[in-house]
Amino acid sequence: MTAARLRVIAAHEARTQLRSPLFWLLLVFLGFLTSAINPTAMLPSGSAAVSGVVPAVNSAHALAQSLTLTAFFGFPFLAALLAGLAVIRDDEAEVGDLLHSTALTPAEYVTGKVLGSSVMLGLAILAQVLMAMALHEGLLGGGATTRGAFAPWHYAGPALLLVAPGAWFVTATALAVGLRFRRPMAVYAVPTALFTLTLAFTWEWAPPGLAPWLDHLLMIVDPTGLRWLGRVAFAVDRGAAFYNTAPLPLDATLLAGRVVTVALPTLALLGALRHFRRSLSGAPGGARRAVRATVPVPVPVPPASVVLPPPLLRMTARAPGMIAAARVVAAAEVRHLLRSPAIYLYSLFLMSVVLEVGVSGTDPYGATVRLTAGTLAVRAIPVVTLLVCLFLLFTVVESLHREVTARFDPLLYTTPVPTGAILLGKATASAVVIGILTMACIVASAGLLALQDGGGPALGPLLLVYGVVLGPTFIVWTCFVGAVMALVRQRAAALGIGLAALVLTGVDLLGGSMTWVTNWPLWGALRWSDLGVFPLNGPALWLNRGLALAVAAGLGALTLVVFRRREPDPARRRARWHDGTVGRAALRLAPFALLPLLVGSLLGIEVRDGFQGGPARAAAEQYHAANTRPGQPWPRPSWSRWRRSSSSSPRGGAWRWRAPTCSGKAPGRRRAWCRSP
Amino acid sequence: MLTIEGLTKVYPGGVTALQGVSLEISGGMFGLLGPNGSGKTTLMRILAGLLEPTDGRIMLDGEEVTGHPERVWPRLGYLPQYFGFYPELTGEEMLAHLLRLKGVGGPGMLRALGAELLERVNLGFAARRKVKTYSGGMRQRLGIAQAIAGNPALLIVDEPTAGLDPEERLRFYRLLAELAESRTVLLSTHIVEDVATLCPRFAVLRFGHLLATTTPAEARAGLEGTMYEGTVGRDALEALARTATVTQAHLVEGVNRVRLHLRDGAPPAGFVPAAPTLEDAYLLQMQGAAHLLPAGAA
Repeated sequence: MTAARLRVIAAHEARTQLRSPLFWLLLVFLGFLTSAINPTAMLPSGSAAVSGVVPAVNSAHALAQSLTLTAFFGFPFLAALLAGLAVIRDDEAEVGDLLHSTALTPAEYVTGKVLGSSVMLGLAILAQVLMAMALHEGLLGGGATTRGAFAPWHYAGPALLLVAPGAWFVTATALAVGLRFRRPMAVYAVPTALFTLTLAFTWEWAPPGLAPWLDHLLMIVDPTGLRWLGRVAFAVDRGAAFYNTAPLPLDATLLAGRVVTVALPTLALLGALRHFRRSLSGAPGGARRAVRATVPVPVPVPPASVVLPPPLLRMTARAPGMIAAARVVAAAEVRHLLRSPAIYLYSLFLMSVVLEVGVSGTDPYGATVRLTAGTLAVRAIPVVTLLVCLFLLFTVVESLHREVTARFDPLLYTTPVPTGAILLGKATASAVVIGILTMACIVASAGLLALQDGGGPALGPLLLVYGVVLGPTFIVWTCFVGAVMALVRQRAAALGIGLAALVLTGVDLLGGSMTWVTNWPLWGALRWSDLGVFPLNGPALWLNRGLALAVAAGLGALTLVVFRRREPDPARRRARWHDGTVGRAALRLAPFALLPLLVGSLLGIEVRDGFQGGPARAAAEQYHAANTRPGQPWPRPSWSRWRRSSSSSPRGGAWRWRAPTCSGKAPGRRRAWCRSP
Repeated sequence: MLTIEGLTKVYPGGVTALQGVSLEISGGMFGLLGPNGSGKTTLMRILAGLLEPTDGRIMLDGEEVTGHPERVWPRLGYLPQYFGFYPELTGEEMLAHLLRLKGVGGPGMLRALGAELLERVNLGFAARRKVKTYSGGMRQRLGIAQAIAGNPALLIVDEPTAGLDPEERLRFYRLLAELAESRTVLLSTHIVEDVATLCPRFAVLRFGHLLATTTPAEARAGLEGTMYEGTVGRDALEALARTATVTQAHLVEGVNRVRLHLRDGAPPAGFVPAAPTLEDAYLLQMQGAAHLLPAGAA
């Protein structure tokens, strides 16, 4: 292995990643998460709750938690995309043959890629630590926060022991997968699987009676280190005084876990390198396939004659109509989709997650909850929407980037197919994806219910929730990703913006500012009742769904307007403003903006007057402010001031509910269906 | 009739690929000749509706198409310089996909048309092989098959013979010549032989400028009586190049076989008059030593 060649590959990879919008988005994410995650928020506070010692934000324990959480939410997707696409980028640029016809060895190439990715990963971790340091040591203000003496090890320790191995795990695994399979969808699967498994399983899964050895095993195989933190460092509340001064309890489990976290992807990389080396030498398969390859396969030989066949048939051509052309595009897209293992593997993955959601539910007393079709489907909504939206993000971006990757775009874009047909065809393929994944959810849920009840499950609620209710979410998300891709025309930027949109939605939810108007994925918003069709959510739900579809239509129209088959001339940008081209495009789009505005306004008015609105929030704040004032009597909130009426009809399966949203309003004028998500 | 008026293309960074190119191309084969980087591909992409020009107009059969590439596409067959296919499809699947997108033939005829097109480009033997297993020449031939599908009124082929072996090149020449009998074929190339073989008229581009529009016969006629051929040693070649315009020098059996352009005066000893070729005219044009016909209507 030659250091000079290694350096060339590593430097090029690092430069490429540095220029990628994904790297800068990663830094923005890390900065945002660092400022958003309060290191002491989830720390057992012990005596702080009764005016005792307050936990310090820069203790080893607090920083271990905040840095690890920041890394878990910040790194998986962006670091995996940056590193995992490294080899695929070279494939698409068709530089592989050139590179590998030089003295560069496969080991040098792969090691160079690993080094380049590691350097950028190290820079990102360093930036994360510096941002945390600036924030928690008071360099950016915030004097009211309690902090202890500055101890560099409090930052460096968690960064080296928890953050770096976890980030390496996702980076190296994605690189190995990209090298082995050379398909972007395989790379996208890495962070999705890691993120979901950690959230749903390794982080906190601890059913009653969990064997200690299994618990330790899960700590060891959890690459994020979150389980170890939760089960060892914060297993019992030792009080803020302890957490402020004690070092992290390093133990054999943690060290073993870190070794496994580093070793597993390293082994995967070595395996991928071996496969890569074999593929370069022309033996891509294993030994068995190599043996099979020794059997001569007859290869058709072209005729040597230059004599022309008879004149061409009388071909006629007529530009295909919108529907016919869309069908052709959709057929090609669906065929591509169904030939790829991604959709099948992802469906299985989604089914397993739905099953996990179903079996892990317990009531406040720890007892297993008996599920109905509706309660199971509603409980699965957050994870289902997240996973389906992630898959749609990847498939829609790849679908719109596919022609560019295959260099088929000059041929497709000069056919007489209407642009709308190309987009409609691709949208139809996305609809097939949605249908398959929805079916996977329904099958998993129905199977679980059948096992639980021993009979045929009620499919109605499953179809209602996964299909009717969540359908608009998937449609609006597909249209959003399509519009972004049409605007930026770059895979990395589109993926970054899509991920940022999901994160911002999560932040909106966690920050408590999400309302029915902004809750497009319906995270935490629905309340299922077997007495009726969302009686507790009422018209807000249907207005919200209508808003999603109206926005989807607007985004679809926007995509149609901005999607470019012809590369625009930058010098004419100003001319387009002056000659009215932009104005005419805006006018064409205006009608599509009216419907979302109308539905959104209706919903916004209801939310404003409901308990998510300003008056209700102000009243709540006033109540709490008054109650926390010592010696100040204040009436407890009383249902006596609320007028409500409800009626139920069990035979008809109906439940009607009417009530005002808050005191101060004329009773009965507003319904209380604007429930907090 | 394809009319191009004052076509200009400036890329970001100030690189001017085309500078006020004007051409009138009627039916038949028309060649666009120029060295690498002369703006041929830019012109082809603009005509195919894939690239917006900075300035200028394009008319097709009297219809303004500059801002409306969708008016060109139903009449266009296009073979770009760089292109690819969906690698997981077979040759016949890929071609059938493109035939459907172009609206070629009826449902019952699609298979027969596809098979015939593949035979026309000598690819019938590999119809059921995946495109990703095709060689560069086979992909080029599949590209040719899709370009001629549907009998387009305007056929634009950009460096079509790149990657073809001599046998296939000859076959393609014949196919193009046949197609040019009933439509406009615009052939872009840097290979003079392509133009000499196929094009009754051609234009020469250099650095985005249209240098000339002429016919091979006119180009050759302009050099009548000025070309000489002889053989010299290596040292003598360098001395000769200082005193005369050397258009071509090929090593043949260890000695330089040289063609000279001399407008006046006697040729060097051992040089005999030679019939001018289109390559002579083109190379002299590139060297600025002679002028073909001035740019104008073709």
